Amino acid sequence: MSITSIGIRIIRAFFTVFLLVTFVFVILRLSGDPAIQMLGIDVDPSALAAFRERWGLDKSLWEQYFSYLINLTQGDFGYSFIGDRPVWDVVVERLPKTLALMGLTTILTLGIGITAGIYAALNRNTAADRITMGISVASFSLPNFVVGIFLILIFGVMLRWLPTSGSETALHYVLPVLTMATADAAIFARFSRSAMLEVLSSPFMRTARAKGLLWSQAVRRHALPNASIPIITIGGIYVGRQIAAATITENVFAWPGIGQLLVLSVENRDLAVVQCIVILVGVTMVITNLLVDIAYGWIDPRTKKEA
Amino acid sequence: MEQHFEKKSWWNTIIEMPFSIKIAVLWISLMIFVGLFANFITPYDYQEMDLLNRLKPPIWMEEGMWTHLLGTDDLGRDVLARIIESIRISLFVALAGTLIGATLGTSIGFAAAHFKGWVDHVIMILIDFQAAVPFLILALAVLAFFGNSFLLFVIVMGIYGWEQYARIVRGLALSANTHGYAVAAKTLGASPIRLYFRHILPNMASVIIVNMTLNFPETILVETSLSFLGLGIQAPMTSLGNMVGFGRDYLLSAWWIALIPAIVIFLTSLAFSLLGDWFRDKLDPTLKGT
Repeated sequence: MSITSIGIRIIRAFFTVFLLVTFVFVILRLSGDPAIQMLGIDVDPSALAAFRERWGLDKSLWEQYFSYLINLTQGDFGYSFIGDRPVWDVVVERLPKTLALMGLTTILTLGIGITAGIYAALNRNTAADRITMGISVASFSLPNFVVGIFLILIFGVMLRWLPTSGSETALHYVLPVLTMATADAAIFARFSRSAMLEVLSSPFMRTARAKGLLWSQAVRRHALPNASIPIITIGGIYVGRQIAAATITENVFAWPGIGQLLVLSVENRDLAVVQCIVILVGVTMVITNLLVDIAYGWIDPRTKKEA
Repeated sequence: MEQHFEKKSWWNTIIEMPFSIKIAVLWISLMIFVGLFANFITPYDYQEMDLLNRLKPPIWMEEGMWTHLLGTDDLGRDVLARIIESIRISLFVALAGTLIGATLGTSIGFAAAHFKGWVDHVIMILIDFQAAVPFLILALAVLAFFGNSFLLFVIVMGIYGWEQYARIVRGLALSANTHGYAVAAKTLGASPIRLYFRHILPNMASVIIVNMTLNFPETILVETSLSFLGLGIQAPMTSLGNMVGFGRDYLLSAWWIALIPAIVIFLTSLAFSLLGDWFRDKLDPTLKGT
């Protein structure tokens, strides 16, 4: 991939972030007067005026928009209405717990999913293939909270092996990570199976066999590297799904991460926190997609010539 | 291939279905039946409380009773009655959401293909934007900013997936515009609306229907997830997700409150994805296994 095409992608990424930030601002302003929403209609008009002045709501929309943009570039996301602390501090202190959950899930997802997919592809149309893909379809249809409830019932209530809420010990990680890994391992299994099948039937595999490579050598040296290319493309979708999965799973297992904070803030209409998390998620997604694009161009030499 | 498929009678199509698809169709029919006739088959009103019989287990357990086949919840409400009402609400929201999404996405896709130029660019940027941000997070933000009402919630569910339709329809409409029949209709003076909705739409109907079949269970999952978090369907209405959410607090003492709706969600979603996959393979054999 050439420098200019990377440059264009980076500019587009910035534009998408700008669009997101503007979208959040517009939605926030469309949703009505924040002063009345926070304080209620029955409150004293002087209190409303004081509130508007404090949060800069008495200025014109354009002024508000520009000060909002400038504040964002300085990492100032305003104050959480609850606890009166800077939003950024509230969000950042919960970040490590969520990242730990996602990191462990990713290792497990890739390990199980890709192994199962490749195994199924190499044993195509056998009973093993059908069972693997059957499990994959079933676990893909399981929403996170249903998996969580099943796991709590089995390991928390019936067997009493594992804790089901909180995040204090290493054992606390087991059920949330399993919950999050279930559906995504299924996606990777299906995707890597079809990627592998496509590669296995391509002409260069026949060439590799014809020049005398053993089947296992041909798979290792030619099939696996080529099959890994399309798997990278679902990286962006995967990160998005992980964020949604973490939001739900954290609430099933009372896990003190960003997802729990988000749902709590939506319930309490702590809009500054919601806004910060939405922007954080958006920026994460834009950066992920950018990296996937660049990695794809770097790994697959065919895209270099086109760009 | 497609014509061959359409010539077969319905009966033959059913006979030739794989076993798993037959079961899936049977389950979906049962769910639709329950959804349509909820008021006639429900044993009680779903809000009716039987305070003397709270947290009673289902019939097959020791303390189970014939008057409450699937047990009761913490307020003595009949779980079977609540399941039936929940199926009705969840199916309605998913159906309304899917129809709104398909209509919205198709119209936007046509608009992109028709106007081209900057309209197309803006729509493509919006599609990329929607695809980039996880829908659950966006839905949570909208519900936080606007508060929750049933109508708003259905609209939010309708927005889900619009970008898939828009992208597919845009691509198909662009290529259809170059086909003879579209050029002929245009030359004969058909208005753009007539051209797109009377001539081009029927030609891509199968693709849109497949996407709707795949979109429907996803909408159910998003709805039940939001309701599970307590941010979707609000009490006194009930949805399958709500039931699991409330039942989560009673997993130790009364597991049936959460487990039974959880199983219904799983089976329904599984049935729809099996059917959707089968449908897609039937209509477009080249996609098989992807």
